[in-house]
Amino acid sequence: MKIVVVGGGVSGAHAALTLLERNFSVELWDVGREEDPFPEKGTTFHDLKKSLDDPVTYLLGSDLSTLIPPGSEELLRYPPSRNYLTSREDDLWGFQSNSFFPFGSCNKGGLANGWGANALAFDDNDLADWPISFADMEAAYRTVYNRIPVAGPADDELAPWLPGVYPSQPPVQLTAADERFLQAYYKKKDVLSGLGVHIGKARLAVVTDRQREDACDYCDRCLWGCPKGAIYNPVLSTLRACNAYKDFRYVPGRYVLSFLSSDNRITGIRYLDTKTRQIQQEPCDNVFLAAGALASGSVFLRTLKENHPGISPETEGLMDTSVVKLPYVALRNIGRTAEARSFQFNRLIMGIVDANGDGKWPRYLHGELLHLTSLLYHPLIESMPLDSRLSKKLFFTLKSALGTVSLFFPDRITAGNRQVLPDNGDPREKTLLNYRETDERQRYIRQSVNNVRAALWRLGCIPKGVIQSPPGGGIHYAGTIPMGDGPKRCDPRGRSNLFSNLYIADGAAFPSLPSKSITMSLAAHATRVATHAKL
Amino acid sequence: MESPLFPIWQPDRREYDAICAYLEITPREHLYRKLTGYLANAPFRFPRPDGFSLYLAKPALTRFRIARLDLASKLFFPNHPIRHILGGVIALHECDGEGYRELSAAPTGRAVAFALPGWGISLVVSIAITSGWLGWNLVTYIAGKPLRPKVDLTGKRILITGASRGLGRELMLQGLQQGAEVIATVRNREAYDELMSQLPKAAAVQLLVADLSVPGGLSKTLEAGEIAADSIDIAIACAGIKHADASITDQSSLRETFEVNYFSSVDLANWLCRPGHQSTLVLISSIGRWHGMHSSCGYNASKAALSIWGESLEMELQLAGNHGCNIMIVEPGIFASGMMEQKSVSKLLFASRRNLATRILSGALTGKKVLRYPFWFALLTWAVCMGGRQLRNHLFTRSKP
Repeated sequence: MKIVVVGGGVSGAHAALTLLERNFSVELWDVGREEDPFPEKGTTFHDLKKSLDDPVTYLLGSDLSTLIPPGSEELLRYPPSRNYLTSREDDLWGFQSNSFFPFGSCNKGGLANGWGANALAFDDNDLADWPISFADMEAAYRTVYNRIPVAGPADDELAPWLPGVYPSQPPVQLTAADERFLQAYYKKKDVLSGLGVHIGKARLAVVTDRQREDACDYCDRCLWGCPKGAIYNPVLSTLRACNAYKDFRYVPGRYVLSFLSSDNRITGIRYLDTKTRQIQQEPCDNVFLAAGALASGSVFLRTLKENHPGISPETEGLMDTSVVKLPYVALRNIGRTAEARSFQFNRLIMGIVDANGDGKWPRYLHGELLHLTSLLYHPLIESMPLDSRLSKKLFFTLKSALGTVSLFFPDRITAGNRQVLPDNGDPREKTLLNYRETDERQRYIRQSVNNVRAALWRLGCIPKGVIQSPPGGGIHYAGTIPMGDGPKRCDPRGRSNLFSNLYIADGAAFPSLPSKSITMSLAAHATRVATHAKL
Repeated sequence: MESPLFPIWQPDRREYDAICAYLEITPREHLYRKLTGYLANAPFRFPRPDGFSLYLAKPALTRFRIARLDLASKLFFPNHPIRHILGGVIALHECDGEGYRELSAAPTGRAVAFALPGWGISLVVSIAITSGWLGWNLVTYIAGKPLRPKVDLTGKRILITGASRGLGRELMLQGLQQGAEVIATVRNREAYDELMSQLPKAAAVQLLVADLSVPGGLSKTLEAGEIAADSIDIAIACAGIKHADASITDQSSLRETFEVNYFSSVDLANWLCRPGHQSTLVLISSIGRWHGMHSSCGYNASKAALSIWGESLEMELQLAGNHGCNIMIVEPGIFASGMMEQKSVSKLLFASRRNLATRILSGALTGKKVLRYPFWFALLTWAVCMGGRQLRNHLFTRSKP
C-alpha cells in the first residue's frame, strides 16, 4: 500500500511519524528546498557584526535588499540568508490576490522554520465551532508534547486558561527587565484582573535543559535562525525521527498540483518535478494532504475542477489570525542596559480573558510581550519624529525600555472569504485569495486594544500607536477544507467527504481559527488524523 | 575615487565624511562603497525629488547643510534623497561591529536625566536655524525660478550617441536621474562592458554598440535593436572624435572625423525626423565651428558643417510642412569633454559639463533652437573672429593641442 504525505512542514512531519509508528510505509513528498546554514554557533547577534568577514552582506544582503527605506511600514526584513520563505516572484508561488497577502515556504520544514515557538493548545472554548472537543484532541496533544520539548512553568496565573499544555523543560531565562515587568504586574494584579489581563511566563518549544547539547545558549539570534537548533524545527527533530524508520522515504523536488481520482477515490498524484520542470503523475493508495492550508486548498480545488466539474472550484473558507502590535515604552527601564545574551522571542505572554462571558468566543485572547534586542534598528530610528542625529541618540537611550505587545485575533469562516480557482485551463494556474476584514472583528480588536492599553498604563508603560498586520500577515492560515458537512469539507477525523482515501492533515481542516498559537494544534491534528485513518 | 553617477542621491567621499561627522561616527571606506552602490539604484526605486525639494538637493552636502536638510526633510519632504542617504549610512554602520558601537553610544542611568534637557535645547536651536535657512532658500528658489532650467524628464525616451564618456555620459546619467528612459550608443564592446559594469541594474537604460565611423552605422544599429523612431522624444547626436595629432591634410582622419561628427547626425536625422512625429533632434556642434584651428584637424570643419547643415535641415523640414521635429543646435565652449583635459592654465575657460548637460536637456524639453554655453565664451569667440584672420592666426598658432 502506497501512502503519500504531501508537505514537509510541521503537519506533514507529524502525520508521517504517526503513520510510521503505526508500521506503515510512508513517502513524504515535498518541494524540499533547504535553508542556508547559520554561521558561528554560540556567537551573539551583535558579536556577529565583529566576527563575520562581511556582516553587511549577511544582515542586509549583497545588494542591500533588506535595508528598509524611509517611509516603509516594515520594521524587519529577514536577511537573504534566511531563505525559507518564498515570494511572489518565485515560479512556484501559487496565489494571486489584491486583498490577502500571505507568506509561503517551499522549504523542508515549511513556515515552521520561522515559528516564534509559542506552544499552546486549543481548549473546549477555542474548539466551539469544531465538531470535536478538547477530549478528542487530548491524546494527540500529549503525543505531540512528548515529541516536542516545551519550556514553561508547571503552574501559574495563566495555567487555568491553558489546558493541554504540558511543559517538560524549565522556562526560558527572563531578563532583568522581564522580572521588573512581572513585579509590576503582581503589584497591580487585582486591577489588571478586572480588565481580564493576566501575564505569565511563555510556553515555548525550546530546549532549555542545559544537560542537552541542543539547549538554548541565549545567543540573541532567535530571529535570525537558531544556530543550536534549540527552537523546535520539524527538520531537526520530527523529520529526523521519521528518517530513523526504514519504511520512510523523503522525496524532495515534487510540487503537488492535483490528484487523479476514480469513483471518489484518489488514484494518483499529479506533480511538477521541480528539477526537470515536467509535470508527472504517479499512482498512490492513500494521501495525507499537509501542504499548508493555502497550498492544500489549491491542490484540492484543482482536483475538484478536474474530477467534479459540477462543483464550483472555491473553498468553504479562508482564515488568518490578525496580528495587532502595540509598541510601548516601559518607563522604569529607561537608561538601563540590556543583557548581552537573552532569548529573543517573547519570554512573557499575556492572556486577555473574558471569564464572565458565557460561551463568548474566544474566551482567551493571546498576547506576546516582546523586548527585542537583536533587530536592525534603522527603520525604528527613521520612524522617530526627530532629525536622524537626535533620533539615534534618543532611540539608543530608550532601547532597553522599548517593547511590543502582539495580540492574535482569531478568525471564523466568513461568507466571501475564500480561495477560488479561476478557469484558464492551465494545470498550474494560481488560486485567487479573496478576503475582507469583518466589522465584528474590528470592533473586537478596538475593544481589546483599549483594554491592553489601559493595562500597559497601569504597568508603567506608555503605549505608542497600534500596528495591524494586513490580511495574510498573521501567518496562521486555515479553513480551506474545513471539518463539517458537504463535499468540500472533511469529517471530524480529517477524511475528505468527497474522496474516501484523502486525509486533510493540516490547518486546512480547521473550521475556526482560535487566538492561541496554532503550531502545536497543527501537529496534534495531523497526529490525530494519522492515528485514526482507516488504511 | 570616481565621482558618483547620480550626485543628488550619492554623496561623494567628502560629503560622506561630513555625514559621518554629523552623526558622530567614523567614516569607513568599505561601508562608503556599499552606500554608493545602494544609492546608485535610488533614482529608479524611490520617488524623485522635484520643485523646492530638488532645489535643496542639488548643492554639495556640508555638515551645516546636512543638519538643516535632515530636520527639514523630516518635517516637510519625507522622500528627499537626504532621508535615504542618512538611512543608508545608519543601516550600514549598525551592521558593522565598530560602527554599531559608535552608533549605539547612549547615556545610561542618571546621565539620561542630564542628557535629555541638552538635546531638547539643541533641537530648539536647530529648529530656529533651520527655519531661517529654509526661509532664505525658499526666497532664492522663488526668485530664481524663471531662470532655472526645467529638468523633469519623467516618461521621456531619449536617444544619446557617444554615451561612454564626456558629455554623452553626463547627458545619459542626468537623463536617468530625472526619470527618462535612455537608449544610448557606444562605439565598441569594450566601452559597452565598461559602462554596463558602472550602471546600476535597475537603470532604465538600453545600451547599443554602434560604429558611427561606418556610413549608416547608427540607423542600422537602431533598426537591429528594434528601436522605433516614433518612440523617441529627444535624440542627441553627441558622439564626436577629434584627431589632434594628425596633419590637417590627412584624408583618412578627415573622412573618419566627418563620418562620426557629421554624417552620423545626418543618418540620425533621416531616421528620426519623419512626418507626424513630435521630437527634438539635438546636434552637438562646437563654438569652434566659427574658426579654423590647426590642432583640431577636421573637428572644427565637421562642426561647422554640422551647424550649417542643421540650420538647412530646419528650413527644409519647414518647407516640407514637417513641423514635428525641432532642431536644436548646441555650440558649447570649452568644457571637460572626453576629448579635452582640463589644465591649470586653461581652468578659467572651462565650463561645467554638468551644467551644460542640464541646459541641453532643459533646452530640448522647452523647444530651444540654439544653445551656446557659456554665452560669454561665444561672445569672446565672435570678438576674436571679428578681429580678422591675422588676429586668429596670431592667437591660435600659440595654443597647443
